[in-house]
Amino acid sequence: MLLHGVGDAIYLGVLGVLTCVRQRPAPFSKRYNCCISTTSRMYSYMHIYPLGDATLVIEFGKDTSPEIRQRIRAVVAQLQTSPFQGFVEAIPAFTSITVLYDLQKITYSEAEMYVSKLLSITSEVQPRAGRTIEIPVCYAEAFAPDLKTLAAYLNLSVQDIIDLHTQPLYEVAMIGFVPAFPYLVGLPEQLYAPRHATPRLAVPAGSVGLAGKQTGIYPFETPGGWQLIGRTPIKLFRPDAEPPSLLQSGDFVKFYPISEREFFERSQQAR
Amino acid sequence: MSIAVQDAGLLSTVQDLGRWGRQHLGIAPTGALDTCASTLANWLVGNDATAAVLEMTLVGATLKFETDALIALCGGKFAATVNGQPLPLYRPVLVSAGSQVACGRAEVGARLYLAVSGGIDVPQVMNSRSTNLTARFGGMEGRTLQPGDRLYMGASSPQAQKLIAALKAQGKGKAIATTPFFISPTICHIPTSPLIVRVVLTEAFQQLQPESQTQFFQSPFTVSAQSNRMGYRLSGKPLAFQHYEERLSAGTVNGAIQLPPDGQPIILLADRQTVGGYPIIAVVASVDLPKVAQANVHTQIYFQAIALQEAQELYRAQQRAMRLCKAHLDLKLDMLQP
Repeated sequence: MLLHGVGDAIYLGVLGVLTCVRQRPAPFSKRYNCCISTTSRMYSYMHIYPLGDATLVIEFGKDTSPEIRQRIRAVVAQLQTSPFQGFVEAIPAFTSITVLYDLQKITYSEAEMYVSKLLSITSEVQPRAGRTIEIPVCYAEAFAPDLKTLAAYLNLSVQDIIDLHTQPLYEVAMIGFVPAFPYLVGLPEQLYAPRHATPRLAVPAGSVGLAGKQTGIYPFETPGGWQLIGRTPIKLFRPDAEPPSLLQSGDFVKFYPISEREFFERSQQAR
Repeated sequence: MSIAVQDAGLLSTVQDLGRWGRQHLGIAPTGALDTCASTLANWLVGNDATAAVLEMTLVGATLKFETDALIALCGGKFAATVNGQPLPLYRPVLVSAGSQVACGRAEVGARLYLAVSGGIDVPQVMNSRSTNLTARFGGMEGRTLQPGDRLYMGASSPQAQKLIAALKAQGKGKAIATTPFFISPTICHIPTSPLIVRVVLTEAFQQLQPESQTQFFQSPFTVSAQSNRMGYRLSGKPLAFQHYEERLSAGTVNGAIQLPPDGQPIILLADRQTVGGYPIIAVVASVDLPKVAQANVHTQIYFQAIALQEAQELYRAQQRAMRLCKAHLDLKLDMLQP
């Protein structure tokens, strides 16, 4: 249920001001204080501002949270299903949505007005329910060039790393960087590790890596600086399929270990 | 009905106006970098602006036409030839079967677009024929052109067929035939040295140190050799934030000027990463994106700030000028006698 609509007001209530003190006001920007849901009582500021002459950004806070990401997905779904005149596309991220518009069809203030109205009415819209996708990973040495050194660095055994890595249900926080690359959150703290100082020039497709608080899968061969601990035979990016990305923002991922033999069998099937 | 690639040039890819609507899946828009030039080239051969063209960088391709073809070259000033004779740019040109077209090297600018009537016929992937070099799909098998490749042409529009008939009657067996009229290469922008690039500032710009804010406009930045279709790495006096704060990754846009910790800005282009964590201090105004696309390695750039509204008005004016040009072109083509 809505507490209040945002309309054209610039500041609504004290909460909006209190939660925004870290941000300085800027030209063109307006702040909205809005209720995510009455049950969770999660208040968050919303900050809408331009990025160049054909884009606006909706920012939901400085730090990400499962609630903020759900809210972002709901708003993106709403924008995609009922786009405004001149809407091009929306890029959801950890704390923000980047909305591209056609500046021949709509001005910034019109787009901003539409978006702020939309934000006032989508509080209760539920995004698509995330699926859980199980992804097989072969942690054998041939596919995990960094596993041994990482184990030494983290003071764990190789088996500990595999057990810890396959334990959580990871959330796909967003897809980006390169096609179908999932940013997975939920990595156990014991596995936090730095990136390589010098990135590898070519990380093989399907490589599963760690960096900072995140784990991810390289959809195809690219340069990359993550710690490589395994490889999956599953294809994450299929340009001829619809949708072309196996994973979507809001899905959940569970890794499970497979042997080298299984890896090769699955690789054959994936072709 | 094909074109044989004899020499692929430095970096030649099939592009259209881009693969939009998939950035939430990490798929960059790609597409022609100088959309003004690619659009004009398409219009000159009776195509829609959305038809696929060949984008060439610094060194053009050498092509053998196995059939008569209506072509147009637009973009940077390249020394193009057909069978050794100069080939005019910004005009519709009928090239006869067996001719060799060498697109030459860039004398001014960086990118040249070759349009053929009917467009370059490669399969559409996700509603676009643009090449995605990162994920290796779209365009010519997701890669740059190679010697030995064959490019196929789609069906010519009725307007193009009429023009082809008129030029054939006029050409009478010569290697090329062209119209007396042409499009002005300066319709979208005039190449200047140094390049003045207009930008819309962001909030992050206010977080730069005061000296860096002044320096951003007053000292030049040079396009470095580590530049590609993903972005231009600039080098100049390093810029610094009052407090450097890397943010959680968020969506990027064409023309976004990122500032990594080394203080050397990067202008993001069509093949960019869809999300990034470096602060964005300004965004190139849409009206100047084609101009930026023609910047060469070592080109000096000065930035100039304009207001958001002004940027939008300038872009709309540019598009109006383009439409007016198209209307004139249509009029000329309608008046042609077969």
